[in-house]
Amino acid sequence: MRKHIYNIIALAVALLFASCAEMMNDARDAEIVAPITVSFKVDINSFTAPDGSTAEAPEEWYDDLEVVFNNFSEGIQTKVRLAPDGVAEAEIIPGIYNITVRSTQRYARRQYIINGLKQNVAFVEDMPSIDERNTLSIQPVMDSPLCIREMYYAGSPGGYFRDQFYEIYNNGNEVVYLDHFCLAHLVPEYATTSLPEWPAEDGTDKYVYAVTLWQIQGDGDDYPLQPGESVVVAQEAADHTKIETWAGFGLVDTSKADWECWSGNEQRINTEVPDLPYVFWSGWIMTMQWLTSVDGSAMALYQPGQNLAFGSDYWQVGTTTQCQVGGSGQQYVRIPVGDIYDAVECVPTAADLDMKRVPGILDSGAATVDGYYNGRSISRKVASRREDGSPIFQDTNNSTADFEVCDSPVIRRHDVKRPAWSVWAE
Amino acid sequence: MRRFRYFLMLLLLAFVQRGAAQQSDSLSSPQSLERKRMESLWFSATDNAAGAQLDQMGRFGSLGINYNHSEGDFQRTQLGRNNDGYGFSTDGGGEFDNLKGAFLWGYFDYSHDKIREARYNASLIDPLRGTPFYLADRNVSDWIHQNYQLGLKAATPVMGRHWVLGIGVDYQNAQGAKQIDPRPNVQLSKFAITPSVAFTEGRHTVGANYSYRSRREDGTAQNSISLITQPVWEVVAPGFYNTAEVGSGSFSGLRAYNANAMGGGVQYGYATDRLRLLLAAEYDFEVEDVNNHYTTPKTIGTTRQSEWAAKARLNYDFGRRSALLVEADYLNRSIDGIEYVQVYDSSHEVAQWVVISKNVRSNFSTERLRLKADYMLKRGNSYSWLVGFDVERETLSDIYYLPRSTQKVESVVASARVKKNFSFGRNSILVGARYALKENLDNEHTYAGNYADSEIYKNMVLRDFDYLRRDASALDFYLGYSRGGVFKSLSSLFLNLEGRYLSPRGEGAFDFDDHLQLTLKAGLTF
Repeated sequence: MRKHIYNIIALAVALLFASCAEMMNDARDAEIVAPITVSFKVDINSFTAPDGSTAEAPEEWYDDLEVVFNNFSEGIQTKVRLAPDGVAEAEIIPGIYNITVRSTQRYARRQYIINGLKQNVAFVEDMPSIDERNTLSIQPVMDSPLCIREMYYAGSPGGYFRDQFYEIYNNGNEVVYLDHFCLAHLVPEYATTSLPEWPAEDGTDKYVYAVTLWQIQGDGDDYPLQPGESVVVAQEAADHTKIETWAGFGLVDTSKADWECWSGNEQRINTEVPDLPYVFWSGWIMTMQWLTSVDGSAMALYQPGQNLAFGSDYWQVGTTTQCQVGGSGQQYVRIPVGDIYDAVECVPTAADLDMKRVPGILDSGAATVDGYYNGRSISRKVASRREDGSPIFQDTNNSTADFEVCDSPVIRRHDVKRPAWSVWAE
Repeated sequence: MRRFRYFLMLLLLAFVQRGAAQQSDSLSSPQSLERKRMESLWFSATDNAAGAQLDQMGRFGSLGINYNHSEGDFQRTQLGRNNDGYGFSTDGGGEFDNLKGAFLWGYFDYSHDKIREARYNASLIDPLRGTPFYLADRNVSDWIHQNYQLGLKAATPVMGRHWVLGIGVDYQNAQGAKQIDPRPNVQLSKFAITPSVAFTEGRHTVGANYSYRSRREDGTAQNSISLITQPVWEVVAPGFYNTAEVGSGSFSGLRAYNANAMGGGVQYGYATDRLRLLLAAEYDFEVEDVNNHYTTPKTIGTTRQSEWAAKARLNYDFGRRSALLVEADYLNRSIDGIEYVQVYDSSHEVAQWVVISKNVRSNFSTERLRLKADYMLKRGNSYSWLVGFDVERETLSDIYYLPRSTQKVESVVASARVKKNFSFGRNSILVGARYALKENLDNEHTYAGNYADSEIYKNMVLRDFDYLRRDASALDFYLGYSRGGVFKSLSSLFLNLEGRYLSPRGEGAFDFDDHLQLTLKAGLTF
């Protein structure tokens, strides 16, 4: 017996020392940090011209292009001009970087957005040569007229959240028909560094995935949205400033919203406001209410080009839906990024930009109200005004730069107009 | 089990059974114990338990309760402004004839403290223990600390006329609970074991000890009011941090610290009837990892600490009436702050944080040289007068390598003290005072980070720098009463009051109040 005890003690001591020695040796390996020099190449791909032909990026588009190296965890931003050979060279501290390139250019009298993001790149040693790791290929996209102008998702002090709303605005110069447009709630619903793994055949940054789709259904010309007009999609259309719950009062009167996203709660029906149908809902349908994360979700405007129906044959795995690798087989909407008119990504705090889940071509930044239940909303900054005084909002596909945080949410702020066909039009 | 009971009985006997035949000047008192510790060089100045056998300390013990209070803000920002605490402590042991002369000594301490108006700490029981990796929040908050500590030193009798083997064991368990959101309930446990050996030949003794230490400390900053998120700084060095919100997103609020340390020391002792000399050198190497999650941990940082220390002790007896006691200490401590570049591998088979590289990003070093001398007029087993001085020079150097930011503070503290122990039969009264002056010799602070306008930089980093470089004076006083011969033995009852009044001198960037510390202690010595 005594021999066994000695053996156990000897084994425990050996294990203790082995683990302790490994930890100490690991620490001994670390050397004092030194700056590193990295090269970074930017390619602007060919793109679709306004007349439908394929066009090459003009040389002058590379002029004055700035490459921004963002190390969010250390709050360090390094900006470097692109050299004529399309390569930028930066001296940086070893770390994880988001590299962004952003510019707007004109081509054939239309505006194009040059927006690229290379996310969570580890630079830990000098990188003088160019390969896939330090190359960013940017697909220019024609400026989209439709955008999400204001989002209120955070809830109010006390924990009230039924007054969430999403305002969709025509920021262009021509009418846009809202028929078939979907408000997509993207995956993952909560910002996280643990991004889901999708099948390899989907490639990188070719698709985004949604958990729910709410669609404006029509014949194609039922809902014209003129420049300067907006529509409001509410979680629940009601005057929440007069509704008291255990969580206190809401902040927003959404009773005159254009649509509400009613998910089946018979106790909370507003017959005066039309419902948007959900045409896809991944997993369990929460009939109590459709609630997006008060920490901030990623939302997108998706145009599938047809009316969709919940549970129809349209939804097929590998084409219109997809499953996560290693998941339970639960399906999510598979949306080609080319069919997205606008995407806005929200993260819990400004320090969580390493949790981005939307490809940089759609949104190279992220907006935040820094916390939740603080009654704050995000609203696009006014860039200029049209001759009629209606605002043109900043939309560079970078929500960090495009949005400002407002202390209280306001529907149709900055003199935004309501469409004439709205049931609430005066 | 029987041996354990025997051990406990012996320990109890050490407290209460003293030979009634001993002389009245053998009464145990706080002052006699103070003298015993000053004269027991191996016991007090080294971790070599084997050496304690050669100190020939006899048997001794004490038992006490204490209350302490401090107020004023002339101290580091994280320590609170108005603190109260109480505690219980006991120790005792010595040489046991019925263990063939083996040395056995043990201690137990308990303390409960209320720290009021502490700032910028949401993860550590002792925010100044050396790690730069912690959470700090904006809210002024109280903390409640509770601490248990126990341990022993044991040594064999001298074997083969030369050899002594010894061992020291220490265990600590502590809790710290923050009282305002974000509030962690921090748990700490520490275990240390120190085997040792001594070889004695005539007047010469050489010794060596090895030490292993393990420490765990973890707590999760959480909100009791879940509807309000709380912003925190994830500090990696003074003025360098990442921001986060407790209660929002995937921020866990956890800081889990795991430290292992190994070290050792060598000693040389020389003793004659009048002279006792001890020279000791010690080295300690500690590595502490900090991560933020139990199941998918991301390493927040690692500290790599090297500590060198050298000590010299000299006791010289001028006959039976007086003695000179000299202490010299040198300490060099260097803490490297290692930060990691990590990516989360979300592939199904891996799904964990993967370390890409690591670098030393910061260093915090302390160099301290101290010389202390006391002249003692003896009386019985205690003293009647104790007069001494103390000079300490300290250099604190911090660096954050990229972006390069530095801080250096070099100071000297000189103090003089006197204690008079009045005796009236079995009663004695101790009166003493110490006056200390701190002079700053050099200081500099450069900051190249991005957060010069942040609250934590302006109100903590710069304030702490101002505190460290500020000239100051301190007045300590000691008042004690003891009555011997209680319980018809050599035991004494005692009541001690100690205080310190600390004042900043000169002008600085911040206004500091004076700082007052008081400790009231009552108990028994054996």
